[in-house]
Amino acid sequence: MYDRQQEDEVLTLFGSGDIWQRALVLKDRSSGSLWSQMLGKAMQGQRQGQTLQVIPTVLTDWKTWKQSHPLTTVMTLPPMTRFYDNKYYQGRLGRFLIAMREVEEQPRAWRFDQLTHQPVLNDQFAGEPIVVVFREANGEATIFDRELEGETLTFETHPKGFSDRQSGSVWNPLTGVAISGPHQGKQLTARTTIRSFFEPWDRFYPDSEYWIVDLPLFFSSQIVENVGIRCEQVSRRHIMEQYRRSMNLKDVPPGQRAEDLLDKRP
Amino acid sequence: MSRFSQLIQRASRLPRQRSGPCTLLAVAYLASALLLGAGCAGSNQESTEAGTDFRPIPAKLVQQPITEPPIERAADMASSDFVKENDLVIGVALNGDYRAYPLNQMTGPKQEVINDYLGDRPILVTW
Repeated sequence: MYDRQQEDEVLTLFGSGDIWQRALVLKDRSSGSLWSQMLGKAMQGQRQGQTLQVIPTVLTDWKTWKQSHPLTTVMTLPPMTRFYDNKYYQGRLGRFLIAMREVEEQPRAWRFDQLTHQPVLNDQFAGEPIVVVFREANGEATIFDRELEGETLTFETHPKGFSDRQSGSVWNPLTGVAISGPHQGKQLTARTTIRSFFEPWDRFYPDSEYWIVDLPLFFSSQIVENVGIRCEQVSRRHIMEQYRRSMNLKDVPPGQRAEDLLDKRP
Repeated sequence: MSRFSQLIQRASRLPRQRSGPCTLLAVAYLASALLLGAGCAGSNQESTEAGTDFRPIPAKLVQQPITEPPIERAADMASSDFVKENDLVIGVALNGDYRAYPLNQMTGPKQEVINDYLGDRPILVTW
């Protein structure tokens, strides 16, 4: 989601009918410039080089959203399809990812099939501690800062959400608000994320890092204590092979956690 | 994209390019990409940096702009036809305003790009 405000006017955009690198190309009504949906950037025309500011969003199911935000409004256009529900991800988790990108930083992506192994993942992006929280039941992935009032928290799974090891408070995975414990009422800072299919992401960011659990054995030296497994430079070939495998879903043990996998490593 | 052209693309990404066959393969790949209308922009690794290799491919209908779509409060929604409990939604929270955009309302061929306001912020929702 983007902010349409530019310095001189509020843009009105629509689908140009074109595709570039497997993502939409948008057109703005006043100048006819062409914008990349993925980059939020004008690629051609009068406004070439201008960018749209990203607005943070979440992707979850209606019931969960409504429960956390009872005052919410909702768009009511006629539905064109009926298949986007919480079962949509079944059998193709590897196709989806959540990612972070910042100017001058290497983009980093977390694929959903990998996150099932460790649904609460303490990680870092651009040197800052973050936590990636994934719920397989509705394909909801969110990323928060782990810094709270000068303290760096470490998170783990909890039946009612996720909890921090330091105080034992329990946090809401959608909003990052503590629902019980010493931190109750406090909120973690949500990070701006991109949700994408793997294919366009791979085309736009061929040098992206991926967080990967399913590694060939020779990568086991990459294991970092208490942070699960991080792999900075898995070969592109491995990423592609693994992607294809995950789409078959035959070799991915469902619901298995990184810790369990670790025990089996030589 | 065919398996063949994927292989060719992989080959053309190799850092050490041998002159003869590889150049031919790269040319063949580019030609096939153009002919097949595959949605990829060749083998340029720095494609995101410059707009120079921006090569959009017509693949869909041109859409009419959608501005200020109908909005209802969740509490007042008369019919559940618009969104079911388990449907996926894009949720946004801005300065105490909350809105959900059901994905089933945001699919092609006509409704993939929504121009809306949340509070006084003009926003663009895409899927």
